[in-house]
Amino acid sequence: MSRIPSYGSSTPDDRITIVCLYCGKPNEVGRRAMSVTCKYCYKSLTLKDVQFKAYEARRAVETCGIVTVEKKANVVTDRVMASGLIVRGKLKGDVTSSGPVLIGPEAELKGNVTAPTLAVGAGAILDGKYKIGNLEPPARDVPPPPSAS
Amino acid sequence: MAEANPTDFPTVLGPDATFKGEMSFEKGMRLMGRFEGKINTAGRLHISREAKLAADVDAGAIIVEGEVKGNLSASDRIELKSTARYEGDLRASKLVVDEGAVFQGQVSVGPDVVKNRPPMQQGGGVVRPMANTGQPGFPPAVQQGQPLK
Repeated sequence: MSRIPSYGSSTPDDRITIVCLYCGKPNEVGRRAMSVTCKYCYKSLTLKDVQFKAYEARRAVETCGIVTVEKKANVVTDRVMASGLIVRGKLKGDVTSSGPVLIGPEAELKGNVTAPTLAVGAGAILDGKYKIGNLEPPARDVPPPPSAS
Repeated sequence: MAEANPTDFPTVLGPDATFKGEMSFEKGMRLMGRFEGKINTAGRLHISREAKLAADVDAGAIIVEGEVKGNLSASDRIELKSTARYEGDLRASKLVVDEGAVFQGQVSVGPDVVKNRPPMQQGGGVVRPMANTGQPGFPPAVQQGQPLK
C-alpha cells in the first residue's frame, strides 16, 4: 500500500499518513484502517490496494492504495484514482495517480494520465493525453479541519 | 549519462547558436543552443540540458534533457531524462521516462504507432531516404522506474 509512513515522533507506529485523493491533504489514520473520511473534504476514502486479475468494467476505481492490473486483466473504467498504478495487462480509462505509474512490458493503457512519474516497459502501448511531473495541485476551497477537541 | 562518442553526433549546434528553419542530417545531432523549425532525420537527436527546441521533429531516436515544445516522432525511441521539460505530442515505438521529467501532451507509444503514422508535412524539406538505416546501437529497451511497494 502506498500510504506514506510517518517517521515523526508525533505519530505512533500504528498510525500512518495518507493523502486524500480529492483534496490532496494529508490525513493521519490507523495503520489497519480499511476506509476513512477525509477530515478536510469529508469524502470517503478506501485505503485498500486493488488488484484486477480478469476482465472487469467499473464506473470508477478509487483508492488511496495501489491499483494493479495483472497480465491477464482487462479493465474498462471511466477513471482510476490511486496513489500508484501498475499495469501489466490492459486498462482503458483516465488515470489520476498521486504516485508513480508503472506500465509493464506488453501492457496497454488507453486513456489520459496524470501522475508525478511514469515508467514504461518495452513494447507497452500507450494512447492518451499525459501530464507527468510535479504539476501544481488543483486549488480547491477546502474547509479547515475540525479542531481536535 | 555516459559520455557519447563524438562520432555519434557529428553535427553540433553550440550553446550560443540559434537556428531557425528546417534541418536534416544523417547520423546524429547534439543540440545545445536554440532551435526553431523542423528537424527530419533517420538518426539520433540529442537535446542537451541547456538547449531550447521549438520544433516538429521526425527522427530515429530522440533524447531530451532540455526544454522542448513541439511534436516529436521517433521510429525507435524517445527518452525523457530527468531534466527534460516537454510540451507537445509524442509518437514513438518506445518511451523511456526518467524520474523528474515533466511532460504534457498527447502520447502514442507502441510498436505499430510509427508504422501507421500519418505522413509528416514535408513543406519542401530535404528528407533523403537513408541508404544506411542502421540505428545507432541502443541496448535492448530496459524497463525503467523503481518498483512500487
